[in-house]
Amino acid sequence: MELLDLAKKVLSWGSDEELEVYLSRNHSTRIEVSDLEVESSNVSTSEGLGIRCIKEGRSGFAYTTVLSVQAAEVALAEARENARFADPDPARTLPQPQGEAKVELASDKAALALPMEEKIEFARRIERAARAKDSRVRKVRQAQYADTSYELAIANSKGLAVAHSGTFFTSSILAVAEDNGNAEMGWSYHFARELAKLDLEPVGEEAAQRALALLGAQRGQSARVPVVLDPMVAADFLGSFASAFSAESVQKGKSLFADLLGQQVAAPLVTLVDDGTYPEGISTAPVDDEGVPTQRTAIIEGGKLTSFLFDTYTAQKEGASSTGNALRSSFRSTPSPGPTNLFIQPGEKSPQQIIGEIKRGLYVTDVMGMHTANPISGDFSVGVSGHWIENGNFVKPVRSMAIAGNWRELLLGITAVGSDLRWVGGIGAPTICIGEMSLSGE
Amino acid sequence: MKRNVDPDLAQEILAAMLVRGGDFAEVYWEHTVSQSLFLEEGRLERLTGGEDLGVGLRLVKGGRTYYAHTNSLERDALLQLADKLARGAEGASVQAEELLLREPPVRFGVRQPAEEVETGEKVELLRIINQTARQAPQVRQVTASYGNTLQEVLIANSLGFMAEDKRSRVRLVVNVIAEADGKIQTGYESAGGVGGFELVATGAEQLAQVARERAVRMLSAKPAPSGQMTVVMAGEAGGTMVHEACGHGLEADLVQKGLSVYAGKLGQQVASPLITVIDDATLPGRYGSYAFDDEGTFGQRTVLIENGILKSYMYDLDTALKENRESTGNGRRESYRSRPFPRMSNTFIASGETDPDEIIASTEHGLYVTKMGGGQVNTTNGDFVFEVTEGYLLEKGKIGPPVRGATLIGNGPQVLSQVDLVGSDSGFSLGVCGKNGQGVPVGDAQPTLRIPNLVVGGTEGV
Repeated sequence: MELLDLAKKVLSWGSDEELEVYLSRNHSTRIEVSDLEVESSNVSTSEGLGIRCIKEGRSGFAYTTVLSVQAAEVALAEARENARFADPDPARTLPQPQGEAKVELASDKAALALPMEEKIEFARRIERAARAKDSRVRKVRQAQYADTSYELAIANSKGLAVAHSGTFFTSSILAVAEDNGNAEMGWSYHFARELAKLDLEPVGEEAAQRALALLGAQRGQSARVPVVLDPMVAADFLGSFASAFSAESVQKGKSLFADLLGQQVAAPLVTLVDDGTYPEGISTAPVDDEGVPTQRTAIIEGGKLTSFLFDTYTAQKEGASSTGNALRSSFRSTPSPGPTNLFIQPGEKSPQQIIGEIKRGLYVTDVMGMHTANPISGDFSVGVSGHWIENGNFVKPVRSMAIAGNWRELLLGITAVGSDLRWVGGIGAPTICIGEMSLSGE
Repeated sequence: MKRNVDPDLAQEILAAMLVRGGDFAEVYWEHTVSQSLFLEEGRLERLTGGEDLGVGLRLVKGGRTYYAHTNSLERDALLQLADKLARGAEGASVQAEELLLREPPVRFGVRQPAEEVETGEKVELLRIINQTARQAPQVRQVTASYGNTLQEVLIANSLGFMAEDKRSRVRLVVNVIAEADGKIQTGYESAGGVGGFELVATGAEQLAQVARERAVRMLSAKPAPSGQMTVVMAGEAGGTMVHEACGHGLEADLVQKGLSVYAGKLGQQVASPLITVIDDATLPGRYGSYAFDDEGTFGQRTVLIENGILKSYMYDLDTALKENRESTGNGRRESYRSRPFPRMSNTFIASGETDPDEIIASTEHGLYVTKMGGGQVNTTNGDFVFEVTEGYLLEKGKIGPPVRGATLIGNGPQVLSQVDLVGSDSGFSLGVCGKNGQGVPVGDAQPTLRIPNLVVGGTEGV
């Protein structure tokens, strides 16, 4: 059954309530190679639907992985039952149809149908490139190629009915370099919406380079010094604190930016944008996960906080408009505001220039424990490895150290933003430099 | 509409997977029903429920794993998928053994099935938490959530093993956000395990109180120190450190690939003689317990490190096959959507002999950790981190003022070798462990431990 047809069937059962059906179906293939041998090949189909029911401001939800009329009936009954126990909130309502954003979504269905042997070769190419870089690259934890096609449909009792689909491709590798009994890992990743745009060899080479560069790393001295985050690390930080820009966090007193709209929250050279229409972004779509058109929203402009990210509920709550940022992790969950393609706008300087200007400091290529950062207080303390900088040059690799601080202080303390924007999934960042941070070591 | 895989169909699918040969084939059927409730702003905001139904098929041949999963349970669709997997292999057909249902030595009783408890009663728990947690003027927000899952599985493989299991888990979580002078602190607590509603039915009030008190107490905390110091971890602090410092590094897949600092060290001294580390899936009520692992192997107790000597790694069927040995019952997966890997169950450092109070009293200067949060490890070089969410300075053998959260960083084998005092107590914490993108519930525990030298990643005193 077509996804939208099933959605309409469910909506036809509605009575004096608001109903929403969200359906998705994915097909994917994933190949993992190690020692140039296939370790595993995975083919999968995942599908399911989630039903939201709102009656007198009480919202309930239920899901099922069974796409049948009978299973949808059971889910609807459960969503209604759940709504009964919810506390009423008049702002709980579903969006009216508002059209779709104009986005270009490449769909490369032909590539999905390639024979398995060809896909296996893609993964091997990643690993070969890593090994070819240097004889000290002796192992890989996994060289991986994956492709996915997805279809989504959203319909609600206010007449909204949207469907969209697309494809994406990813390559990644975790390479290990060994020398004199030392072993270090390096990771790299790329995604594209068309196979022709997917990097394979560069991913292998970069991971190898990252692992090789850390060989011989040792713990350094504690210090307060400038810290440069490479783009992947900067993206990791941004992703960990993204929820602070959600209107829901703000409204519930869980954001450190709560009362700071219009104020300087970052260095003037920082501009932070969420863009659901970003060309070829992994989260790019004509509508968000409750069917509202996506858009480009500047969150921080020239260091000033200009907007938060809203879904329909949080917008209703304060008489604002949804920014098209309703997000669900899957059909199993209800939407809440979150980022689509979130990125720090690239600046003018090359990473070499940024590093070249540092007298004494740390360049970070890896963080450990990023998930322990507290997006509510903004406090973080994470393990780091990377390179010690003296007079603008890398002089030795370091590891087993930690940096600590607060997200707000970090943003205000940014002294340089690189030109090298890099995407890790839906989060993008260039190289950034923070004027001073606490570095813990010996 | 078909909703289950019966033994006859399982046997048929196994045969279809093996038409071109293979060393091992497996059918994993799962039906999981879950419910979760979420309270915030004093309001019950999200109530969700649902069912997840699917099948994972696995074929192993010559070290290669072919895996497929689907939500469709129609016979034809499943046989087609089996055929698709079989096409990856080349060779003559092999026969699957006749399936025989196995009974595990332990089963975990459920006294009060959570699915039979009225939603209203669960809602009441969250209201109690909210009310209790708000009994301090500094509290700005309280989020409370409750969840229960009932997972039914049928696992059948070509070695003739068949297992049926019903796993019931319940979890109650509170997060309190307190504010004073523009500073925010949070207090987090969770309870639950394998079992029924009885695991959380009482004690909601105490859970909220502990979380509230921590959030408020930490408001007056000074920034954590930065640099190397002696660290004493209380038994009540949880077990994140053992999980990261050696648990992951003892998983056989990482060891076999040479990605662990513990590879090739069986029989060698890898920790202080005071350290014994055990992984035990059979502990009643713990969050990481199970009767069967996700390949149908009985959950068991495995001594990993005994008096500092490395005794065993943790195996699933695939890694065990490679060494021609038995699985240790550590083959786990998040769901039918993934193939299993060697994973921990409940991992802990065995209690020692020193009175915990004595450990504190004998420490001149250091950090006293009373609550750990999350962690991570780089198994290749052994470096690991774990988060301290509640800690105090130790001064002249006495517990001093609180310090704000910080990450501690060390190297697994180095830290475990350094431990110089092991307490006679023990305290479990529950968590969700992530590996290869899959989360599985685990428990971990440690007695009070003293480590002479760890890097504390704070901001003070640089």
